[in-house]
Amino acid sequence: MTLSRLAIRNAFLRNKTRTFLTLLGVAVAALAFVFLRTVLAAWYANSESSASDRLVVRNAISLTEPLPVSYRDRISQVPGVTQVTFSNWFGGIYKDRRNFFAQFAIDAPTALEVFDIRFVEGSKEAFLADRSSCVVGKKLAERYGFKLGDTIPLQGDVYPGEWRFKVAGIIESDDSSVASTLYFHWQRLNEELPAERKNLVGAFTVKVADASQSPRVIQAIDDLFANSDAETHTETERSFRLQFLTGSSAIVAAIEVVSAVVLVIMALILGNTLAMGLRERTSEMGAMRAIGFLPRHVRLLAWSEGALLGLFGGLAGMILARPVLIATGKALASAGFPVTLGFRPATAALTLLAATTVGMLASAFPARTAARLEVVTALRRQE
Amino acid sequence: MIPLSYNVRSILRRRFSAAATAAALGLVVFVFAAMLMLAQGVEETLRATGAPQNAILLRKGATTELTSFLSREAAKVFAADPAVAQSGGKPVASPELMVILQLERAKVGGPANVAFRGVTQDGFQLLRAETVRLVEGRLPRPATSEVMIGKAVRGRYVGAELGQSIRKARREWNVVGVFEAGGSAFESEVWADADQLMQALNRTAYSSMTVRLSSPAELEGLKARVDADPRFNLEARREDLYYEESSGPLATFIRVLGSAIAVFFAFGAVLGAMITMYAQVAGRVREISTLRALGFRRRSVLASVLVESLVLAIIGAAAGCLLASALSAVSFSTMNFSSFSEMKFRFHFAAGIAIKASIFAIAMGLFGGMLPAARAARLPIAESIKGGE
Repeated sequence: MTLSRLAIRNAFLRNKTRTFLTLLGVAVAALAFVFLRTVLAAWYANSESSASDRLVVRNAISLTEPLPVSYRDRISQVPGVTQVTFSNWFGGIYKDRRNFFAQFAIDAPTALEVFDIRFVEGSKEAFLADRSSCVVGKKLAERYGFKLGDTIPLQGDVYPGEWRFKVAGIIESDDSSVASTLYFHWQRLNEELPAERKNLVGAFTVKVADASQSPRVIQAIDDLFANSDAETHTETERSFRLQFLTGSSAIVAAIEVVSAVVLVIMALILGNTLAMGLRERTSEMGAMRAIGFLPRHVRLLAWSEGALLGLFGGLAGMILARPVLIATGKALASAGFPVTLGFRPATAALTLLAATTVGMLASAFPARTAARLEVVTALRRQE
Repeated sequence: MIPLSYNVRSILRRRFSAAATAAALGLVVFVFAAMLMLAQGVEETLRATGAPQNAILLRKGATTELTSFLSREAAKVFAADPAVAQSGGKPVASPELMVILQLERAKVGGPANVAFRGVTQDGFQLLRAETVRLVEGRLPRPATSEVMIGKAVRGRYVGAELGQSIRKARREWNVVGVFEAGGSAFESEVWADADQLMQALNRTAYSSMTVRLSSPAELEGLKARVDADPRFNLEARREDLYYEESSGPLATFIRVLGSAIAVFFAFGAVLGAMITMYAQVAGRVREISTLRALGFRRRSVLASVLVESLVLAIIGAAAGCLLASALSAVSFSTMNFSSFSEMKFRFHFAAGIAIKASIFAIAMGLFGGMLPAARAARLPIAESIKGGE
């Protein structure tokens, strides 16, 4: 029997109840870890899918202050800018406050191009032809069952009133945020607003010819409006989106901490099991040492036991992860927090690595004790 | 009954296992309690912001002050409403403008949305001065761009310090005072002169108006009159209820996420306790059978194992609660979803949370001890004594 086979037998076959409970414990901990990492990844996903050749221009005072639509022409003339579009955050309520999703009023002809929007159903022509129509992201359409031709009622909050939009297309884009958003015509919004709120836009999105020229273009745009009534703040789309995260950075930090805590719990469960197993085998260890195995063999044996339990527990957790993630995503969505909790191979690999490492680390203390044992004491001791 | 000292001794005999199990239970209790404390902290902060004897007037359907408009005319009309209390011949009403300005974080850098509240001189002195108390410096002079900042804002953003100034919207907002407001959301705001703020941000209207009711019973009358007035599209709400509602999304988010995590973790910790207790039973087969042979009943053995598991859970609960209560000293600044601005919250420790966490721990202990206890109680006496382990 080789040392590795001994490790496998010790880890899995000696005390089946305990092995089962330990694996289950590790699996649950791994599941919690995957869950938390997935929530974190979902948090960052929005900024990661931003395009590097897009800049966002908004009012320097803050995001809630608008800019005059007339800025569009002046921004277009900045060298390096290939296209300019704009959008207003609409912030309407669909039936109930819990049904939260993003809605923007856009300048349709330019926005469809700048955001690389593809039509899954319906057509660009139909959307452009009808001012009272809207397009909805694919995921959003799935979530609420929106179909072509449906009328979506929205209760305006930023823009008070009852608004109704007819679905002219189901869309998607490389930018993952598009799939969960509703877009409609800015012109429709503008014509209904009172005079003092007309011709204002929330932000401009600017496409640049060469992403490496962005710093120069950013400077040029902001210089253009310096000391005007509405000064601008221009930044890359990525940094624009990241600022929503920094607002919630304390929550992100808390989730990070909690995901570390779950690893500690996993280590405690594994360490406990390994310590028990090794203590029960003290005399066996003594016998091994007596017939010539060295302390490092004993240590290696304990380590591999820990790693094996961690790895297999982690694997079991991964098998459970997918359905659990989908179910939790649904539960969160019905509580009003639409997060896309997808099962990511990278997260799974990270978890397996973490579980195996934790298993090895957890066995460090019991392994040291076992390796240090005097042969004679070990042989004499009866548990 | 088998005496408790028997359990205590048997725990002490396997210190490493017992400590690992109690630590795992303690960590779960800690996470569970911390989440509850945070959600409660969010609610307490916002609840403290409103008062039940006040009513707030907002645009109909507005979910936050940010999306609400209230014209100067409407402010005048409803300040004169019979439901509004009077003080020295003036109505106790505070029309306010709420805007978000993006400031630079002082230490870590990066932008943050900070709420600026424009108040009028009368509104401040008659209504707000009761909750907002200056702790350093002086009050801003009316009709200037002087501002006072909440305690939680101080030092957090560039320029937000007594004697310095915040450059924003092409003005220098000179900080002349620092105030506290009983731990409420106001402490995360910057307060300026309403007219100055309106000019700087090209506004013509207020966002909301808060009024003191001459008696709580007047609320219904005011609500009806505000709702019925065809000139303005406004509604009146009890101020504390309005603020409480605006804590909803964030508090719910923390609770949903927190409970999901706690349940996951609890499952793991229960398994940990089970492993330990199975081992305790397996290691004491002969002992337990001897107890049975001496005349102790099955249910005494069952209870004894459960008690041992409970002792571990209670140690864990105590450690977890202790660790969590230390968090009360920690504060937490994050974006409040509904007001779109950064607010400072505290972890709010309350007896209710300690009780919930302890019940949670005891449940984990019971679940963990149940199966091993059943095994111990079912051991066949004769074979066990003979065969040993």
